Amino acid sequence: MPPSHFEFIAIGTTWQITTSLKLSSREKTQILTRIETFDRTYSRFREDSLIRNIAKQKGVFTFPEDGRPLFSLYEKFYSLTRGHFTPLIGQMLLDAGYDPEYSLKSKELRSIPLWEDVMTYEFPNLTTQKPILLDFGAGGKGYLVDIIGEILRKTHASFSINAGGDILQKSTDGGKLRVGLEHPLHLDQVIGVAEIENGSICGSAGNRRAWGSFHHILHPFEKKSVSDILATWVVAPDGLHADALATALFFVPAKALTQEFDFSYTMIHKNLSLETSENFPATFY
Amino acid sequence: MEENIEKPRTVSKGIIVVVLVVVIVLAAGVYEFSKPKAENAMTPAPTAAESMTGPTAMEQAGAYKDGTYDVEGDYLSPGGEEHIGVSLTLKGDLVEDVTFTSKATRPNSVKFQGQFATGYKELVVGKNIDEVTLDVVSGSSLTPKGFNDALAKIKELAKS
Repeated sequence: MPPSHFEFIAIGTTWQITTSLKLSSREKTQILTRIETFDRTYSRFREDSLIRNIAKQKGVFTFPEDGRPLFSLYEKFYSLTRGHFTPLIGQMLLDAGYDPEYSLKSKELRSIPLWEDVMTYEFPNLTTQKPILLDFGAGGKGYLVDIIGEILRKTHASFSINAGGDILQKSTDGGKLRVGLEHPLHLDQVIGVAEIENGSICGSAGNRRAWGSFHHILHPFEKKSVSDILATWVVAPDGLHADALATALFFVPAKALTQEFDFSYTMIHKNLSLETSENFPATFY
Repeated sequence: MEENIEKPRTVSKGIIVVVLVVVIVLAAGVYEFSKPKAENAMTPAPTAAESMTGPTAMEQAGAYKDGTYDVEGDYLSPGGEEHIGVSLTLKGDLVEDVTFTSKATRPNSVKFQGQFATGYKELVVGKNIDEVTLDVVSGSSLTPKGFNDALAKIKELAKS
């Protein structure tokens, strides 16, 4: 039976869900509703979100259940990257021009606060000392892919979810997904092909969300976009970790992360050299 | 392996020197890792390129046919003799590809050669997506229309 594809736009990118059995209308609605709920909590791009509320005044804010793994991961990564991987980057992205209106006009970049100075998360609440603008782009999409995967798993043994290049695949028949690794400078080319089976691959690069002198992966202390790395890919058991690790590799060397997490990676440095872990499941040209 | 049916092109001798240097440097680097702290480790400087196999090489000084050459290097680690394999592809006067094969047998050498096996590829090479069988492509997240429109607007303004 040929696979079915369900495509839509959500959280600012294109999604494609592939299943061997066609999704029913009810299943599609369930997926879109779940995404909408997530977006309404975590998006800084919509006026009605919890994140925008937190940006207006200090207080105690109750997050849903899904906040627990997300904050837990962000705390760990914040610590491992010594503050480079931080949800407080939202304000700097705004100042750089990546705002809800996509003005792409930069202002002077204000310094962002340290986590320990302005907020404390203790499930289910986030307590803040002043208005802060949070952004969960570094791991949020991979996390949402996992959440949708959990919904699909109940009724579909094999499927793949591709949210703008962040991918989760589950297979019970040994089927692998062939994933082309997009050349960061030539979008019609791939530099190699990875094979994914029952896991996630996420890619990160500064080539698309780029404007003026910026792209969206900002160095919080240097107050400019990371320039010495062009692209990263991580294969990990789930999307949350693959996504977060792919971002973290812009800030710290792989060995800062390999002790803590089970993953393989590949990355392209600015001189186009390729650094890859031996166990990264890909062939390169 | 490809055989170049055209006349062999003259390849600068520098190319084979570069290859030997690469192998020697790799071998020396691994040797460095495995060298004990004592300065007078009496093993001599490693030698490399003991053998070359591939299309007929060295027809005249410095001339190489296109093709893939396998170079093996030997070096002496404190644990004994070890081997490194380097496979390189020559096309015209360019080294098109380099592959490093760990042939280490002793535990330390395997580990250190493994460290080399991470991250040795010089430059990424792109292949057109149409020429590859793929299920999906992964890179940075595709941008929404709103962002693309904003970018287009900026580029327009920049021109005026």
